[in-house]
Amino acid sequence: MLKFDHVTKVYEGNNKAVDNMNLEVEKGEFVVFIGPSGCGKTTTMKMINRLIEPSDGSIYIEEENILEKDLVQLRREIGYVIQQIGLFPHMTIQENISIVPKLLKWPEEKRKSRAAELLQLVDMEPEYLNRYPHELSGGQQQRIGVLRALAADPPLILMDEPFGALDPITRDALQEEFKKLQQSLGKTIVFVTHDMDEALKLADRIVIMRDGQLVQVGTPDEILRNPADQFVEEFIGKERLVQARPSIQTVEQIMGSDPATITEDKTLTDAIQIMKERRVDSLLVVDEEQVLKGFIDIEMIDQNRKRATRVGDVLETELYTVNEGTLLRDTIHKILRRGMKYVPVVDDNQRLRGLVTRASLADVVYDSIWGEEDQLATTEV
Amino acid sequence: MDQLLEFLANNGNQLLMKTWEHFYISLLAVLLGVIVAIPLGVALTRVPKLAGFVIGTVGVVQTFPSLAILAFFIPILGVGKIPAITALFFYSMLPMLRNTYIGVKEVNKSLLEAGRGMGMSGWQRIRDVELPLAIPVIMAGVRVSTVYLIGWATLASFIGAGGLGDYIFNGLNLYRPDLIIAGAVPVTLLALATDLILGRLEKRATPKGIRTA
Repeated sequence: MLKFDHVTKVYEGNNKAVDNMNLEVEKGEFVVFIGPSGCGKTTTMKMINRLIEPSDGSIYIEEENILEKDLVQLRREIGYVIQQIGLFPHMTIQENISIVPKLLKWPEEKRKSRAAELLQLVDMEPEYLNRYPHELSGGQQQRIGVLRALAADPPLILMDEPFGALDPITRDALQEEFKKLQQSLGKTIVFVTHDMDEALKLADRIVIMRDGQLVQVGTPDEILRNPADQFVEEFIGKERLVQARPSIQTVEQIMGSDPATITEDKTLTDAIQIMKERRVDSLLVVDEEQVLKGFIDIEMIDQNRKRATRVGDVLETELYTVNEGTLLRDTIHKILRRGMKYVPVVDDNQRLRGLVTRASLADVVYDSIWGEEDQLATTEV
Repeated sequence: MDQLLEFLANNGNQLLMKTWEHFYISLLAVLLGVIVAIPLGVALTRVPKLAGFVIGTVGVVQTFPSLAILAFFIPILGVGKIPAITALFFYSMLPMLRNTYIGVKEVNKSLLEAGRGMGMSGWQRIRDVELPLAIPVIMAGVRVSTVYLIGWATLASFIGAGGLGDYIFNGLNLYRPDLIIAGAVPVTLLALATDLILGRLEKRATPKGIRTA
């Protein structure tokens, strides 16, 4: 799909930003370039749509040397998302999404329906089409930024730290949404970031760069398990290496399998009874099929005791869950960062499977500390 | 009051004609200014090294006394409307040139990079991104220029271009305050009305997504 063949970029003053790089990217692959600032990752990406011209070597897309292609044509065939979002403030959302289709001279009708279709992909209502960027939140704006890159259905999309300017929670949400989107659309993505968590979460393959050179190329797991050298190890960070210990991989392996639950038709008195028996302050609400409906806690019961009698009347449905197959390292991160007490684990049909609590995390961390000492002992020998 | 009516009865037609003359001298000069200054301003953003020099030079021209410039064109273009319009055109340049240059230069660089990365040609970036976003600033320059020119066009009467200046200078020479007022009041009204209309136009021309209020 994409191939770098001995690509070098030398800036004025003999400054080698990218040094003799060779790399191949498969079709449908999500490749993340990562490294400290000035390592050449952005330069590398911008050479693909020739915002920066390589000094030496060639780059091929589908066996075609892009240096021989018409510049404007080439860029219209590649999606591009930038960190600053870069929506045009004087254009409506529809016009913003339709920029490349318009450049490609699609008829008006087709552009409109395409924009509406894309908006659905990110669960935004069609009425947003006629709004202006400043009327949207940062997260919504960058969703539009991503859609704009998808508009003409390019096989390859370049993303330059697209989620870097968003707040952590929005970023998390967008990363997940985008990863799903990418998998369902089968796009090839070249993604630049300096955020290791982001790279581990999104990438099929991570390319770690330093001083214009490739230091290590591999899947997130390969890199976590076998960092190529000291630099990579430091760059990944010790805590992540610990979390990546092969013995524990998914949340399923650490979750408590018997969380305290209740069904919607029970009364609040029943709920308090169960809480008392199980010595917990909140219950997960499920139906007969064990499908998770929400949760109820002691405060909610206290506040609504006079007005409601059934659990179904007071339950809170906004609830963050993880899938049982989720990698542990992603979950730990989220629990710690969002300050949650527990996260219900569900299967693909939203059926409750178990519960990860802060206490179960403590077990993992405890294991890791001992495990790490074991490792140190072996390396010293 | 009677005097005013009598004056209008005697000079009404002429007054209207002079006002129209005044108006189109200014308008032509501004139009020429727009045609030259806006493209030049955009072009200068592409060669920043030259920009300082050109804008500086135009700025110096601006400081020449207007009467001197008008007189300067007499040996080259003779007397009448053409030298007057030419001189006024030079005057109108600076605010428009400077505002176009600044307006276009201030357009967020990341928007241009997005445009470039999506495959907009240089011309498309100017037309679809830079100019629409710079419109409020450019229009403010046009407005300032036009209002100034309507004032300065009074002096054009000195080199035989006509306009409302005729009344004012005749009034000065003949010591007839009524003539001075007959010239000055329409000039002022013309300037105010133009300012108002261009102000509206500025709002209308500003793309909806970037209107502030």
